[in-house]
Amino acid sequence: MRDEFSQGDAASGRDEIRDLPTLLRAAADGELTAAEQARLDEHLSANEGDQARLAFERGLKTACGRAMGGGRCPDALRASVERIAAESHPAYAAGVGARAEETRSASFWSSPRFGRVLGAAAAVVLMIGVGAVLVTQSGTGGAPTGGAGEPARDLQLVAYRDEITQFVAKEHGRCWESEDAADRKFKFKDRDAVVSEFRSLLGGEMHIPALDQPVESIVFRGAGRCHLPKTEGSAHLRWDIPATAETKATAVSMFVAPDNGMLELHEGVTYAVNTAECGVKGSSVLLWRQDGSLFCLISETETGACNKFRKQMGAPEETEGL
Amino acid sequence: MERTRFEQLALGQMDAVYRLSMKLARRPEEAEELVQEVYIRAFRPGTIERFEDQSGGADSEGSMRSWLFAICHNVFYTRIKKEGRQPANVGEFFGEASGGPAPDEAPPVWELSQLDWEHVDGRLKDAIEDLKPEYREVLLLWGVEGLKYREIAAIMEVPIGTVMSRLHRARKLVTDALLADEDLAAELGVRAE
Repeated sequence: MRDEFSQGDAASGRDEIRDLPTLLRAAADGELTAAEQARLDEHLSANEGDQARLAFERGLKTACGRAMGGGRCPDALRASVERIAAESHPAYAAGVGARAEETRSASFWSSPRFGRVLGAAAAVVLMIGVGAVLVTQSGTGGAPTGGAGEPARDLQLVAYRDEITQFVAKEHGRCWESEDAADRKFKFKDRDAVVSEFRSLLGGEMHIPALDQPVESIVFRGAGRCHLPKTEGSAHLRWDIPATAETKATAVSMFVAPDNGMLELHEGVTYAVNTAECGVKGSSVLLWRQDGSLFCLISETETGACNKFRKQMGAPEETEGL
Repeated sequence: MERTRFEQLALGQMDAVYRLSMKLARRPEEAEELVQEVYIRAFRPGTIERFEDQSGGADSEGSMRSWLFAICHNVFYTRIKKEGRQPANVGEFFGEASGGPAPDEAPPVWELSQLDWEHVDGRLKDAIEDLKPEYREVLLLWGVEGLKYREIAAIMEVPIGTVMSRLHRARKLVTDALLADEDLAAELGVRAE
């Protein structure tokens, strides 16, 4: 068989020499030249066995496609990628980026209903409107604001606070609910390994009292790589709090990343996030900045673990709302 | 190309990029990181021009998909190389060079008039999951995305002969896995020659 088709291919001027099995596979893949196809057709007309082989190859391809196909991008990931698109858009960089969730979607901007110009106009109107509401609320303990002249910045801050809080809540929950996920993520089990792994990311050693000195009643579970939104990368550390006669087992997670400045945190202050506003009621989240790094501590509110261990985690005593 | 059109094309390929990422990384969280990294790179300044250069100016979903796949492939293999967990070379696995000529084993003979492929989907999935990343990748690009050999070669940055060789080996491995179950092979009416 090889000789018959080798001759044919050589005559067709192709560099490679195709044997019959290779030709059958190429035929099933629609990769034959017209000359090869004609020669194969002639061969197949007199050879039922090879017709069956060709059918097998076609069936295998279809079955592989079916077995591997159909995967759909999860909605959360889709939203995240759409944010990446929106935030990398030149308009966003120019300051239009701070806008409501609705306007972050690429479909909004590309919608024929709005068009680009009308879409931009709508974003500005929305921005001014929501900004005014935030400015009004700023005196009643709401999110810090930069004044009536900077609504875009305030919106951006609040949106980022929400995004980062939702992210850490999701990651903390995911790794708590799945031992498998925790095993995969928390690969670095001791202080030296953690410090070494994240030194270059954080531009120096990570200083967390509970990491340097073991704390009674909590057990370091490990640390792993993570990616807080809009950071170059981050560390996710977890301490487990074993069950007692009165309390169930729980955990606190710490996320550490180079501070990108978007939350405008002042060093020496711990910011208690209003998690209900962020859509993750039931979680306690503390944020602070130290030595250029952003620290984010999270636990379930009912356990009170965040406040109980905040000192051991290095959170400053002075506290403000965020 | 306008930015809006570029984004529309790229975001329209998210399912395909996610599928490839899953087949390469296997772990959902790694796949999600990979997808995000692909799009971060895709939306960097100046990428529209690079996309237009590489696609020869073609403004199509197929061109965008291939371009994103190439980014995905590069990000994945760069990452595992950095992490020192490079998968075993497929050529070494078979004791021959990846770019060598494809072995010419004949496919199994199909004795039944209608082979119920759907019947073997579950076993096929298992067999595919057991493959090395290079094989899963080439099978996905070929079987699901329907790409041509030359398109796969461009994405994987290997010669077309290597694509054909890997594809053949991948097909053979999954076929062998199916035929290893003698009862199933008999039930399907398939026998290896």
